[in-house]
Amino acid sequence: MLFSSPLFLYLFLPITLLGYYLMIPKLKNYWLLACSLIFFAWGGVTFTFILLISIFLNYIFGIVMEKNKNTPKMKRWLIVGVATNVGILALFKYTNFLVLNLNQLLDWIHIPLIPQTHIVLPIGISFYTFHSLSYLIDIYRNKTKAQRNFFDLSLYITMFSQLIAGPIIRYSDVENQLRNRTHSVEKFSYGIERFLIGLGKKVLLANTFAKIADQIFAANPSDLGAPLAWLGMIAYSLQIYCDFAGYSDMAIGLGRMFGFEFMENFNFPYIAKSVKEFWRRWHISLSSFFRDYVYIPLGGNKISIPRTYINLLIVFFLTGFWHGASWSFVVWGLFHGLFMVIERLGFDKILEKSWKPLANLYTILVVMFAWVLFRADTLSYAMNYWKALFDFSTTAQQMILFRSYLDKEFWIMFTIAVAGSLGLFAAIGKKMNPILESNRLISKGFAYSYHIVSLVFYAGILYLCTMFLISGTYNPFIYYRF
Amino acid sequence: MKHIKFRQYLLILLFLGLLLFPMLNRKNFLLKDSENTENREPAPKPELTMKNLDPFPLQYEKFYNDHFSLRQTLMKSYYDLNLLVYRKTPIPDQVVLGKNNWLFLGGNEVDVYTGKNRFTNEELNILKKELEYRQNYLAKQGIKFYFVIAPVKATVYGENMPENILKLHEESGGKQLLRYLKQNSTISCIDLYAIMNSCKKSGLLYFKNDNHWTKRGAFIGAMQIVKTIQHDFPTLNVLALDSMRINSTITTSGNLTAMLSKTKLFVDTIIELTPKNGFYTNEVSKVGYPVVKGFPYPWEFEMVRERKDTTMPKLLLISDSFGGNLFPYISEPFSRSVKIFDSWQYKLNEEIVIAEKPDVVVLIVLESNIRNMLKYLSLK
Repeated sequence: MLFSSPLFLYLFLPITLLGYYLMIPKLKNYWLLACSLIFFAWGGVTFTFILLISIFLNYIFGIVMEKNKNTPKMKRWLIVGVATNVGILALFKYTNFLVLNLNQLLDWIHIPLIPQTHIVLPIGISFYTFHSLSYLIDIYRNKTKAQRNFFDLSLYITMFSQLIAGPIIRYSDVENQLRNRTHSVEKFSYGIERFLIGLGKKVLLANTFAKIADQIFAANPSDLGAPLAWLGMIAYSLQIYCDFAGYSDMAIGLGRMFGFEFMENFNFPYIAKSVKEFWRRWHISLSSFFRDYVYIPLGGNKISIPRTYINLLIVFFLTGFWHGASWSFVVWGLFHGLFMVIERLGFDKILEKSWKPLANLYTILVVMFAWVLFRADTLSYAMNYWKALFDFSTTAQQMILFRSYLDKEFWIMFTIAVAGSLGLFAAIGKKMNPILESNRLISKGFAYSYHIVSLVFYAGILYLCTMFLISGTYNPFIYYRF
Repeated sequence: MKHIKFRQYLLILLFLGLLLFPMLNRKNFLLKDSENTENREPAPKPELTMKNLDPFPLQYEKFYNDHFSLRQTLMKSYYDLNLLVYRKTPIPDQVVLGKNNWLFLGGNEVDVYTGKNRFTNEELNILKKELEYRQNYLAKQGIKFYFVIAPVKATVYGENMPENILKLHEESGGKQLLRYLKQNSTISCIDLYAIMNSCKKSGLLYFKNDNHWTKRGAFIGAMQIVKTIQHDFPTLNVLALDSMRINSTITTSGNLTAMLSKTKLFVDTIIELTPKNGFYTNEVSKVGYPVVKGFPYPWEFEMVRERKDTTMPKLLLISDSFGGNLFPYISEPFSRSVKIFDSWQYKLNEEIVIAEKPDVVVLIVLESNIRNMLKYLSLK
């Protein structure tokens, strides 16, 4: 079930919210768990069994690890637990890819091919596997205790707000909240605001850019010419940000409505002045997961300089591979890793000293060129697309097509998306809050008028999104495939 | 802060109220929805059984969306937003917003205009053989056969198509077929492209809000056909445009504006064209030929017109919706005319030919539907 679907907005969410707040405190978690399982089953009833088996195994691993605390057996059980989770993920996500590549090799050395597998990827498996890994590793590191209540562990892994597309929540961050979380009018109303902002980002902005990006990326790159190729790349860059940041906003907002406080997943990544900074602002829960569970255990930057570079490349290889079983994702990860290494080699000092907009331009260009790899179905398509970005022999027909994309809707959404991704609206909000909270500075009339306008704004977002969704406009979620 | 609390409470109330509204307003209990302009059946409610556990969610979601409270009102708002604010079509695959407020049907008709769905040599050859088969079959019974392609609006009014719809080929599939038949067969083909293009400056030949031709366009087409038949049947009389009384009324309706949620933003002209001295023919009762199964407009399957003078030849017209406006004019010089709209199959309809024993059979195929003929071949 998509957050941005009428069924979720007008049936699942109100029933879940009403049931939750009408339920006695003892039963609230059970209600949330039941709703989360229905939410998950909506994307594939069969997949729910895989999820339940995975939860059960992790529940057992956690308890066994704790029973063998501070003994060599604990490490062995951790290895078994990690291998089981990674194994399930690998089986469902990477088998088709592995067989395809292995067959190419076998074909080359004239050995009979293995029959090609067609395993379907269960929704959200990449995210709930990482939730489970964080649970087991945090127990091993004595950061948390094993969860004795199977239903609470199930709720941590299946909580519908972050089950399908993150953010990746650490067990240690929510352990207390599973039992002792508070609910308040303030939290609930903040949750609504975050949720609606996220919904607007997704439905009104991301979907608008998706239509353009999908049409341009469906064309043969040699037919594009530079203007269309750049437009496609910019549209996709805005789409993926609005799509994923929008989803994270909705997840955080929903969590808040049910009393949970989840970590931020995005912090205006497009204002970063280096690739290193970009990764501190983009998909924060994933980059910090890899930092804490892969980069640091590998030795981080503490062993030697060459080892640091290798560790960085390993982390970015895994980041790319986590996103999808395709070479273009791997190269996308390594492309970022390469720039991380280049910056570490001393380029970061130059960036620090350079004019800030120039450093930002460098980062944006690296990130956008990398998005071409991310969006392309094959590596060769991405290479040809990059070529098209510098093909200035544009025909009149290409220019006509290019201009047709730049209509009123595009410019309105482009202005909002760029201003939003550069943090303009957040800055205005930050300035307004102290003014509103200060009794001396403003009149009551102004404060109430401001609130009424903001209420109309939020209701307007919901109305517009519903209107777009009911009209059956384009509504894919990029991160649903991971 | 009191005013901040006020905002928080109000936001929660507003949010929950809006989320619950569609549930409370089921069956328009609180607010009435706009008129349904969707030309399809809403999705049925699926049954949850052990067998359909996996497909159930998708089926239910379709049902839920189709029965969403105020669905039509929301769709109308979305369409108006696109048309009024963005000045673009909300359903580009179905309706194309052209220049000077002209609307065009999307999909197949756009493909005809761009030259995307031209025919392969093999397809051209099959079509030729099929038409030759029909011509020979009818000739054996002393019946003359004429093949007509009705141009789609976009090939006649291409200058009003939006700039971003680019032509892949200058010659559309219909023109390609006509050229091929003229060069490679003896089929009597009637070309309406040239006459439509030369007459379009003197008045509207196609509706701006609809993909069909106006009565003026239909009249010009009909007379061009009669003029050609006249070579074989000299007694037939070709009506002149100045013998007709022309009345125009302004409208906002049309099948394309209906698809745009019956928007009132586009103005069009309905042209009524009646002979100054009245029609010689009158509509008479139908024979009752069996209607093609599943045809959505069974009342349009058959139409019959007759005139008192029984010495004139008889006509059988196989056509589609383009035959509707054309029929009163093309039937004028014939003693009896039968029009068959066979669900876009454009078949030979042997049983009707045998029953009617016409002197002339005219097959009119809309340019975007020619490919249908390949599906319903008489030639085995």
